[in-house]
Amino acid sequence: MRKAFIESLIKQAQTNKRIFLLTGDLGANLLEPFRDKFPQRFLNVGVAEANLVTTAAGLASTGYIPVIYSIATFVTMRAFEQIRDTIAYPKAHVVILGSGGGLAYSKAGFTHFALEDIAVMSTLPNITIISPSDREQSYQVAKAAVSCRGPLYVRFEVDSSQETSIPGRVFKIGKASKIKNGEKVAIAATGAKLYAALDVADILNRHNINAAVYSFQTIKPLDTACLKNIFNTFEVVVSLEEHSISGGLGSAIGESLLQTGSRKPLQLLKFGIKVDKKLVSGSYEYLLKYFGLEAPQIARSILERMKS
Amino acid sequence: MAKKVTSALALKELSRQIAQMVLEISYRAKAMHVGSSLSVVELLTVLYFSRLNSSDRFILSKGHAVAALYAVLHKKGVISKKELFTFGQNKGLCGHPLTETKGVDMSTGSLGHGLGFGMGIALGFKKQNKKGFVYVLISDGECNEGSVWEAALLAPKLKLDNLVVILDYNNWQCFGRTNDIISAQPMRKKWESFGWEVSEINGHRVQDIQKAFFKLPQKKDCPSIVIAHTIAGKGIPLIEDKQAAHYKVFNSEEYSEAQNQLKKS
Repeated sequence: MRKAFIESLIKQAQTNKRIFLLTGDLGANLLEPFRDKFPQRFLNVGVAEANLVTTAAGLASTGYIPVIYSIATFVTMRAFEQIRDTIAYPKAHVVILGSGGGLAYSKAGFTHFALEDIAVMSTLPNITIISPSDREQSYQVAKAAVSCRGPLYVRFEVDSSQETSIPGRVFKIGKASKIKNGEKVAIAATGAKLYAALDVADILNRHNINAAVYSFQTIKPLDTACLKNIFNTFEVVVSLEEHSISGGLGSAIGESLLQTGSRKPLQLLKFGIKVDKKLVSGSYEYLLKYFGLEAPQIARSILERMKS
Repeated sequence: MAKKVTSALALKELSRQIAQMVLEISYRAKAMHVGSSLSVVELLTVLYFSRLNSSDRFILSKGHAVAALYAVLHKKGVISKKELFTFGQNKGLCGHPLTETKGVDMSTGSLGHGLGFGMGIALGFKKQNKKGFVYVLISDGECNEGSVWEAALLAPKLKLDNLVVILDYNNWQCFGRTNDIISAQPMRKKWESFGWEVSEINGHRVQDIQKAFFKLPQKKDCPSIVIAHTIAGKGIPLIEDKQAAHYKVFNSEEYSEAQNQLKKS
């Protein structure tokens, strides 16, 4: 997904001379094509996330559209205050790219697991938060990010091995997409977890539950109109994200439910990472299983909780 | 564009008036940071009245010295007297600079952000072949922040000779003397070792400030730093070069006496 984003950025940068790419000394074997094509609009500030953010903010004030690249944990948390003070509140048009959303850097240990980035970014005003589901969408997100006026945070998770082209899907900031129709149960997923959600729906289908699947690639602003419709249509809403179970998509949906209400009783089941559990390292597949985020585990849990 | 003031005598007189204004609006607002503002009065006066062009930008990274900035902006005709006296009032001028206020280029208050931001502007100017200097006023205590040094490391590499740091070195911060808390010495050598062109001046002598500002950039392809040795609370013996310079909120008696002292300075 990162590659697709950068490819899209390169295409746009050919005519849009305002695009300026900065990195905090990360993105090797990814950013070079941009650097080589537009050396005057590329800067590696070194391992210095605070400086990465403030320099970008300063550049934005001179008319550039800075796109900054780092690992999600580092840029959102080490430089949180810089983002808050120089990008979010001032509404600077800076695009913040965070690679390694969720458990992507599975062998690197918890310092690299972005489990709180959505939560912390969500507390800031004016920042749009996007987690694309696949390469095709990531390419579109890059276009939206450049044309959007204001700060954006884009997190990149591990590409799903099952990603596919979804016909008729057009990315629009703030708009969720219904990917699959269904009754009784709706699964709302963000990022590449969309494909896990489709797997879960498949499994539920074998248990005669025809679950709908929605893709919430924009987590902020949340598509509350879509959610309202979901709350009034379904009995069970499942949120699925590769992020802490607190403060991410699931929590945002819960908050929306409290504010909107529903015509009939509704159960919200949140699936994410319980950070209280010991954070081990290993293969990505191992960690998904460890945190209960494999499709069969999620489906089983949904069935059990629906029965109880 | 307003004519520049070049006479040292005139600048000194302007500085005195601005210092009095700092005290007045701080007293009305029951605000702290009087000493922090007084240590930069001459620096801002010379900068705004005899150096800054419309193509330049100024970042008060030491945001708590905002009273001095407001006073200067008022004297320049950017802020009205009415607005100036809203300092510290509900919905009035804020205790740290906000870009919502005319004449303020960056919202500051959390130390350590200004240099990186200013560097971004300077870089943008260079890339767009824009003539213009970017001045960033930082404090000595602010140099405790790692983010200052992140930016300080990079600026020389980028050859930003349109970037000028003014370091207000009054040797006081919240808890005590700057040199006692984290010894910044040797400050000059630190910046030189990072690749900056350094000058050191008496930050209250307008002639020295004029001289420092007029030979910018100090070296081609090199960012400049003017280390200004200053005195916190200059001109008011009650707080001059004391820790209280940072915290003191003046009562009416103290205020009257301080105004008399500034008048005579």
